[in-house]
Amino acid sequence: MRRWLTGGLLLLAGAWMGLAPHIAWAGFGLHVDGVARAWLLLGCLALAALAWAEQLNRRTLLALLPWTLAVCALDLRLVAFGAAITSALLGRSWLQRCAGWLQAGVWLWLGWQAHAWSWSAPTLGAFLTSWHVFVLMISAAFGLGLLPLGRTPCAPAPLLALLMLLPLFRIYAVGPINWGWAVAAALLGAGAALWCLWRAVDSATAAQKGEWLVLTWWATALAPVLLASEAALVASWSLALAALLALATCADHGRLAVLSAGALPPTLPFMALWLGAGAALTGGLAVLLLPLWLICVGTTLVLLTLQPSARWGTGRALLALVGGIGLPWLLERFFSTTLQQLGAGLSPFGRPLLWPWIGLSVRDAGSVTATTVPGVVLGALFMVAAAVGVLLWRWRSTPPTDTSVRLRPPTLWRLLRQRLPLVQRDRPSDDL
Amino acid sequence: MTFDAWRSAVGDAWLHLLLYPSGLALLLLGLVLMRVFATQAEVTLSPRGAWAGLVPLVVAVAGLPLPGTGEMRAPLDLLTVWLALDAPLLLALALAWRGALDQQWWLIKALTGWLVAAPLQGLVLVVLGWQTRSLTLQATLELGWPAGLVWAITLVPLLQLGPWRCELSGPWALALNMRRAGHCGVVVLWAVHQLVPRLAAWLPSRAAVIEDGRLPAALLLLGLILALWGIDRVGRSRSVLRWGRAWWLFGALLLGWLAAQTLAQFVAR
Repeated sequence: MRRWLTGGLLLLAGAWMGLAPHIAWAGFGLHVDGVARAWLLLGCLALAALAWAEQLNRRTLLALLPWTLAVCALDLRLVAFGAAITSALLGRSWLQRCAGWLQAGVWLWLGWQAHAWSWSAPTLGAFLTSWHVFVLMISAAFGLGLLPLGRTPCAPAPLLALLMLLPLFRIYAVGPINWGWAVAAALLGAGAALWCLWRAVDSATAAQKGEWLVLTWWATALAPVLLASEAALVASWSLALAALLALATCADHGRLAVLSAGALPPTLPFMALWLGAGAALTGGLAVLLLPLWLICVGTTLVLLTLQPSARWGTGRALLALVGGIGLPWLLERFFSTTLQQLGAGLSPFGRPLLWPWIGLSVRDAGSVTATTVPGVVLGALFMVAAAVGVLLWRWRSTPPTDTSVRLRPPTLWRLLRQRLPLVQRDRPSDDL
Repeated sequence: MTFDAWRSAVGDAWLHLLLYPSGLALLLLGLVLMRVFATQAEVTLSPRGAWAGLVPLVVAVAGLPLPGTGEMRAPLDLLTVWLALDAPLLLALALAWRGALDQQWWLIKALTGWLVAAPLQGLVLVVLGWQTRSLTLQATLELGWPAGLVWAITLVPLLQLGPWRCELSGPWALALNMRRAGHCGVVVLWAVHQLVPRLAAWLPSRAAVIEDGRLPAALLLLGLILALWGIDRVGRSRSVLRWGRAWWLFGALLLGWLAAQTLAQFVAR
């Protein structure tokens, strides 16, 4: 059943994607613009991921209507209403339920100050202050389950998480924001992502590890979003895609889970993180490279160390590979209208260059290439190398190993800590 | 870009993939390194997945703009190369995590070195990004030899040499030695870029051979392997903690110097 449902939703998303450049629908107070289209696609994929993880319930279906209202409505009062109802329905903790109300409060406050209730009102930008951005960022952190960071994971419902990220994109259409907020969002997102990653490493059960990993991806999506460049928005949107893929993967840890939720080149999660690195580099925040790289390696290692289930997860692995290699097409087909729409509020520091037959690169304001991944070429070369590898690799003398005696993870960590400078507390044991 | 661009990018690259610098050349170098760094106490890991780890490694080495390879239509950046080079190690670590006691001990040793090297390399990336605003291989070469030197000293813990030494046997040994060769290739690339113009100015009669770059690259690779072998021999019986502290201190000093240089250039601008 879930496969049919997932397949149907993916097909719907695909059809929507194919039609997307031609649709600009308006009526009943709704307006499907570039940002809304990008979010409707993410919404379809979120439903597919939920169906795959067998978490699609009546509450989610009930929340679809207010969610669509919050994404597509032209009137700020309708957006606020949709956000409040969605978070009340989908929140898993009281802070997550509050998050939508906070967001709604910001829109109502802004509309009341500007005496205008439409997104397209030019007066809105004049009243946008740092307080609005602050509350939107805090509400996103609450909604994504990143604040307060505890020892039990509280992964957000994907539709709610998407709704919390949306205002941080919409804000560019309203007016310019202070660069300091880029640093604040990067600190909050990267810090929370590293914490979630550490909890994923440290957790005992596979289910908890999976939930922490999904949270890691959502937190990473928050990190570059306020860098105010095209590359940053593209990175954040792709990271949201990666989070949805991780949600579908972490439900049952297939043997190929590392491809769909870890970050190995040239899969979708890696490409998303790499775009984040490019945005950080061109946006003048090179420090963000370090956490992004740690997330790259950390998520891969966590997934590799999980005891795999009987499933393979081939479909999701293929989706991650095709999504990663085909990211230039996906962005050109679907996200370019969003970038055109938000372009006025964005800086030239970081522009993605899409080569549909080659791959992706990120350029800075002086058209200097900052980072480059020829994903499509890499995909072809990987196939050649894999074919040669399979032909050559005939070394199959598997020695019998006794796996009955193993170290428990805490012992393993203790032994590792003893051998690291500046971290060790006691003398290293000599038995290694 | 068009389909023709894709065809020429793949067509230009696939010879690099099979012959030089990756493919057969990498395999041979891996076999040589296997002999050079061989030890008696070795751990055996199930050969499952060893070839899968090699695929990104081979492609990454093929993408390095080493002398004699010709220009790639679609260049890689340092972040991609770095992650792809470490793919065999990540897979081996995962297998060892689920393995028996001796394999888990190997895991602890391998992680010890890797965790000493990774922060240093990450910081070099940050300084590179800060100064050049670019991580493409061509741009990173412009930063000069201090960055190359920090990257080179991280090779000792990163490649599990000296006190961090730990070896596997069977297919994984070959895979990890090919990884060693790949990481050496990045440093050689750095060094060739720095040394070739100076050597050519110093030895004008041999300028053509030097500027071609292949001979200096081969000699530098040989020199690097010999230096690593020497450090490995000296450091085998030393304490992991002391060497770890020394390495971090040395790395921090070099990084501080690099950051100061960057700042000085920034102020001068």
